[in-house]
Amino acid sequence: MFFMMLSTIEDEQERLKIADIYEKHRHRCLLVALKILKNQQLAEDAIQDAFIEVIKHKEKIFSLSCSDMLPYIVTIVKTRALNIVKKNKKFSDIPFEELDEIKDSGEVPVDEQVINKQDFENLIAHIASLDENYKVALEMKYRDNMSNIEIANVLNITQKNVEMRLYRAKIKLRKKLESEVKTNVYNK
Amino acid sequence: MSIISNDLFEVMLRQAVIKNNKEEIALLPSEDELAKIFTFSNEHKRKMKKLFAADTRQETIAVVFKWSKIAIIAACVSVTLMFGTLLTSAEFRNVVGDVIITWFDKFTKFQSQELNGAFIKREWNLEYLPEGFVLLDSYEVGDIKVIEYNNPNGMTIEFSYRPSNFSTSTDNEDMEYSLIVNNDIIYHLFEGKIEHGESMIVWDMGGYRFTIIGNYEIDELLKIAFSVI
Repeated sequence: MFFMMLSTIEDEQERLKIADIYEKHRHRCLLVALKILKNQQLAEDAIQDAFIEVIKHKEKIFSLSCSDMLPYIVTIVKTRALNIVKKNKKFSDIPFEELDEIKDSGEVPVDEQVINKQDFENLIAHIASLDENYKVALEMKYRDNMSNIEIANVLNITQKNVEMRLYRAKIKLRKKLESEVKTNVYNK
Repeated sequence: MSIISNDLFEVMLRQAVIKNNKEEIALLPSEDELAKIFTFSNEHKRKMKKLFAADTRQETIAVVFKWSKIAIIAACVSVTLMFGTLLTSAEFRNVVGDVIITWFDKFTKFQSQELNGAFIKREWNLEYLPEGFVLLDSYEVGDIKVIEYNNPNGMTIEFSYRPSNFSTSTDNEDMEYSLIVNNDIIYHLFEGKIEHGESMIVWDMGGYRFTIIGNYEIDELLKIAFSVI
């Protein structure tokens, strides 16, 4: 099925390296995809799509250290899995950015309030509980230092949608932090 | 306690995203543990094997055909006649191309010269599909367009095309090679010899290189190839 990809991996070393990366991490990739898709066949499709993406931008993965490869691969697998979810959803023509409305709380922004070290740990926990669509965008932006255009290409959405997704993710996180800071202040 | 500005929040957010991601990755069980729980389907293994072509290739060149009049005549001596006809020497003169076909131990490589000024970017379609086959997926990888079809019996056919200046390789292990000429177009047939094995057809037309792959009868794949417009 993917034989034509051979023509895009001209160098034998590159081909073996990507194959090696796959062999080293394929079961973890499967677990990540299964958590999102809950279906083995779809999860395998997500992995195939992910490695096509890796091959398409092979210069990216070759620029990473060994310890950074798995996080990058996991993010790509997640994006492919989320793509499959989007394809299979009944209302897949509704952009993700429109699915949940973020209302401005009208409260004082968190940067004008008091934040302590505990809030950093809380922020990490809030990130963990974010929808995967937000998380992968944040990971690509802040961990991989990708531009919005690069993120848009990987996620197969417009640059504007990327900007909106990042903006909404930050607003969500800020709102959660705000309510915790307020609680901390109230409880003092 | 400290007050954090917007800029510092951005920095904090960056660190929190990185740390959360590290924690998430660290929580993943090891490959060995997961290998005891999960297995991959044979279909997935086959696809990934093709993707990476992990088998080592012998780089020594067995046979090189520069697609010239003489080579066509020599190759056609062993043509399996199906729908085309064995052309005469006079007709071969009109079928000279510039495709270099290199036969390695386990795969065959097709290379062309740079595209000439006549190349026009366009979409290609199939006018014929065997009964029961429906569109499964369609996607692009760079300049390569891939369209997949399947039928209720799980058989698949993949139709793909790319500009002919792309180097294209095909597996030739366990394959019987032949070629056919139809309407001045040369079709290279790789017929799978093992049961349920895949067969492939490769040809150049209109500045593009086409491939059809399927675990289906080679005659039907050829009909599909002839129907490309």
